[in-house]
Amino acid sequence: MVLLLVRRLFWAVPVLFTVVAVAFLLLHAAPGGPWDTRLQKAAMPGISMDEATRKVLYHRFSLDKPLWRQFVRYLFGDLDENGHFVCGLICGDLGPSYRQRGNTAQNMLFGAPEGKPFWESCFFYSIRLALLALLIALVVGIPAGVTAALKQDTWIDHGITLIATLGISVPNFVIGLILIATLVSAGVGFSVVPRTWSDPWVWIIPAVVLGFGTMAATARLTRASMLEVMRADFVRTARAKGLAEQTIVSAHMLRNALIPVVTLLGPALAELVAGSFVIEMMFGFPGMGRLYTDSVIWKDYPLILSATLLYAALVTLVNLGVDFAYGLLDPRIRAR
Amino acid sequence: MTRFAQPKREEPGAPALSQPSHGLWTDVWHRLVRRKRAVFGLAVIAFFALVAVLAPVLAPHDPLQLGFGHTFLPPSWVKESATGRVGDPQFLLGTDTAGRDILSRLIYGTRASMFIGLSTTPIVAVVGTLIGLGAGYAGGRQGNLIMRVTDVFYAFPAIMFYVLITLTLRETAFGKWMNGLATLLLALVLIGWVGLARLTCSAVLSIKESQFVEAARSIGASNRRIVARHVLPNCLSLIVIWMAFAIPRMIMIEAVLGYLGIGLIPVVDSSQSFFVTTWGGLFLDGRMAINTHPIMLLAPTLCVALVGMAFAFVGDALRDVLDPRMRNLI
Repeated sequence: MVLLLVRRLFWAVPVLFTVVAVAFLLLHAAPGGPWDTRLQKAAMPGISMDEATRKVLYHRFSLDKPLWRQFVRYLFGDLDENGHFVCGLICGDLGPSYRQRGNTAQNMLFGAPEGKPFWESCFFYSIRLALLALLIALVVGIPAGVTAALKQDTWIDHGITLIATLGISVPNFVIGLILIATLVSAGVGFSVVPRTWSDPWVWIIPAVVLGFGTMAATARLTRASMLEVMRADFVRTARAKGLAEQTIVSAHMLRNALIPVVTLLGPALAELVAGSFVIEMMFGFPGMGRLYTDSVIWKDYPLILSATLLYAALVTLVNLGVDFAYGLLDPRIRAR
Repeated sequence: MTRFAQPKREEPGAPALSQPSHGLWTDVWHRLVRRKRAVFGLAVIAFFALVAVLAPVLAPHDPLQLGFGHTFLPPSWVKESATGRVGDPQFLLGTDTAGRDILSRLIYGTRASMFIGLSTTPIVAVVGTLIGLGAGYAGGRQGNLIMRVTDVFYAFPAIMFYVLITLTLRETAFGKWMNGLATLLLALVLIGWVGLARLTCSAVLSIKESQFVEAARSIGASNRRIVARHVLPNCLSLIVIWMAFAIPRMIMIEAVLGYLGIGLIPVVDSSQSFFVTTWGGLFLDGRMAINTHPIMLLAPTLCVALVGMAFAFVGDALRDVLDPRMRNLI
């Protein structure tokens, strides 16, 4: 079991390396550098950066070196002008931000504003949103699935199944857009896209939108596995010995029906983390997704690379955790 | 409720034994059309496909025709909009910032989006199937290596890959070719094959061990013949089901990229490109006008949602008809 885990952990290294390498190559293959993007030109019309300044900037960030050298520098580190070795990504240095002079990618991702606790940083904003979405998805999805199963073939069941099918087949960002467009055309009194995120209530709409697909999947899976468990022999036995219906449902059915739902949690969380960035942009949410889209527009290479790597690492890590959890839950896997 | 003698529920549409036998796909079709949801899905898909094909006939206006006398009109049923304008029955869904007819743009957008979904999926399916077949049938070290490469692609956050690749190619000659359509198709094909390759590979691994393959080998069939005649046909239902779910996914990815403003390059001159706009492009237009003109966002999103649901219904039904065991896989 431990061996399996260690082996999987080692496999994560080439995977993440390839992710960084592909992203690095794609970014540097794109024509134009970080200081002559269209936005830059739009911000300062008629004024293009003079050659001398550009040269200094390119030299400062080593963009004048050959590509392989830049890659090695980013990944492992390189000597600076004074001959001192500066460590790169493997030491945990994510590099400087091109857009905000003097700021590092690390600080932009993990740094909280002055005097705020660490969970106010971009990265943890995204994590918190994903966790909240997962929570809402479970709290709504499981009871909905159970209700649908208990009232099988009634209009309640049909309604829940229909909504669940909708949630699975239509991606959450389309649902978010429909929600925003309907709320706006209905002329609701509150702002759908809030100005401040310090109020916990404004988190709910983005979290529901983000977690809608997971909610639907949870409801459908719970319903299916409840229906299976309801026909089981031990439920008949429980009824025969005269247990209260409530006890049968909660202690006998639900407990067994939830096992497949637990296995859904990991992939769902990975999906929520990776899928958040369109939702974040839609709601102007100050998380990692918005940072990513901004940095892509401004060609802030180190920040793009860091964010891509972070997303990939999160997804890999969650998948690893899921495999580990399976191993704990299912002895058949542990034996391998 | 007694739980003792449960009559087996007849599968709806299961052919009676007295009927003459048909081929597999005829049979699948007959069972499919007996499912209400599948028929609904097929009808919706047929409707949108028809709209796509007949776009020039159906569109009431030229989707690129600017009209400065009637910009930002609300839908025709609105008496007075937020901007104080009255709907014109000539423009059923109103007009956008440049006075272009929204309904016509929606119809032309349908054409492009349906084309993207329906054209990329077969290409991706062929690539994915070939890789999966190769890796699964070769097995051993080579097969393992191929699957490890697939794993790497699988871990790559797909949407970020699309964003990166479109941004890379956007300013190049290739990126401007067909208004960015070529780039989009390339991006979709480059990463779309991964899921199918994994599915096919695991299917092949189990088919390869079956007795009919052993029998074929014992009578001296070549590898090529075994793959073509015995392995591939048994993967076919998997591939068909996967395709039903892949088509809407391709449409969605285009829509996301369009919404982010990195989809197809907007067309202003009809001689420039075959495609005027896509659903993704309409999303972007709608996003800009969300406060005054929510219909511009609502109309394309509802189309996307409807098509997504239709394909999901058909895919679900196909899976139930072809191979219910695949319920946990796709």
